Amino acid sequence: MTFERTTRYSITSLLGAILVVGLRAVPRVLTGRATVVDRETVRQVLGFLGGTAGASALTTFIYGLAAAYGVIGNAGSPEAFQTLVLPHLGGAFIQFVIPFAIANLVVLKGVVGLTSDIASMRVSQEVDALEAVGLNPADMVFAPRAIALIITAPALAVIGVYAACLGAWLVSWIAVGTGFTEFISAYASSVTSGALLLTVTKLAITATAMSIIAGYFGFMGAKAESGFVGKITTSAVATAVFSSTIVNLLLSLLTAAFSLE
Amino acid sequence: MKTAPPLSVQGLSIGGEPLSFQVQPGEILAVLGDNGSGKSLLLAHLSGHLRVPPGSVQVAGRDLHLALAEVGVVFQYPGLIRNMTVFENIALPFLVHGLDLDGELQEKVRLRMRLVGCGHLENEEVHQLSEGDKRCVSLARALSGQTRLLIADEPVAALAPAKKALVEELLVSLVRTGVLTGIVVATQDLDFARRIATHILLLHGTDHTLVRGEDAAQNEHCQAFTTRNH
Repeated sequence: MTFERTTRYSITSLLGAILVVGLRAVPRVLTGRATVVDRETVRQVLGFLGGTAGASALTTFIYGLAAAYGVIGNAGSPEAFQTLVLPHLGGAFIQFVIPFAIANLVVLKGVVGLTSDIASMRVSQEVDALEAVGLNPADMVFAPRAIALIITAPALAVIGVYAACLGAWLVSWIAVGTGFTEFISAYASSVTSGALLLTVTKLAITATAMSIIAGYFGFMGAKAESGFVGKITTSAVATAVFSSTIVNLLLSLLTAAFSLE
Repeated sequence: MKTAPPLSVQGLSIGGEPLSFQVQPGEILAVLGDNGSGKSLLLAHLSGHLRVPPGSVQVAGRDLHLALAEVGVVFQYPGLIRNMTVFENIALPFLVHGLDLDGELQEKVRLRMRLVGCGHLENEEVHQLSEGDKRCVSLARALSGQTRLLIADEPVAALAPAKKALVEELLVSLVRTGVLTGIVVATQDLDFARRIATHILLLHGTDHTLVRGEDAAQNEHCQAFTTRNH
């Protein structure tokens, strides 16, 4: 015999929760009238940013190292690297390397964290308790974490641009003796504000899609039983990895179609 | 004019024979049964977490979904919200109704903490509490807000004898004084059920038996339940 939960968590209701909580939180936090949901949102944003900034910087630094090493090895000569490759390196990083690295981080840390948080709160009946006191768990549990993911992913991209630059410079300095100022000025010239905005937007859209997948799986099913958290988190990550590729492909096709890149 | 009962259940099916019963003002109903007999499932329906057919569960004459604010729930797991203190957890039902936590409301929260013997835990984070204390805080939270009917799943499980006696006394006095109109508790403890309940609903297999609290000792199904659980 199957039983149905009273509160439903469809994709549209989860998206609605993100919008409503996000739009209400900003003025209330700014005017010092924050509710219990607003305070949870701020706590999640700061927590997620603090918990991923270091990992993101390190990951993109290593991506920068590896990418620059590969490029220098194939450039033919130091002069060819400095004149032909370096002026385009920043643009290539921001368009291809950073979104990939940050999207992976968002999928792994964000989706795993969000799904397992919701699922474990269902097992411990915290979600039931929120419903019992009249709070919508989508507002209190899901939306703050989703908003944290959506705000943090673009912020991590900005951190990533500079961390990757540092990694690439280190390899370039060791391999071909490029000076720091010279490297930074060539790298920065190819990082246009338009490209940065496009990457930030793509990551915000990807993070929104990933958080909805995580929320959908977290709230799935009427009852939370033994082994529920692991099973549901694995399913969410598998779907998120696949969906992240599809979302990125669609966004790339869209930006190409409108000549935005 | 006759007032509607605090809780009325009509033909509710949780897997076996459809259940029908009422909780009258001042009554405590204990739902008794073995593991997996459907006690928690019944309570999940009565507390509005699982969908019930319209009209099958009424609280004070209104459909359950219209009266949820008056139903306080103690869950099988305490369900305390992580990252919040004991005080914040108990204050939650007041906060969600947009009330400012002024001096009067703070005193209401503290009163509930004292009633369940948790007055000294005000600023503790919930993860630091023992299982027994978590249960007491969960009961205090269920009594906050506009609660008139209490639904409690194993409210005295994991409690030390002194705390257990305190909670039993509290539950009985809450219905006797009219603070609560009625209570439904799920338990596996027949002695606890006989001490506090006016009626006992025993779930066994796909069938069920409803007896008055004082008649439980003579009922063959209750006797069989006691034999199985000793």
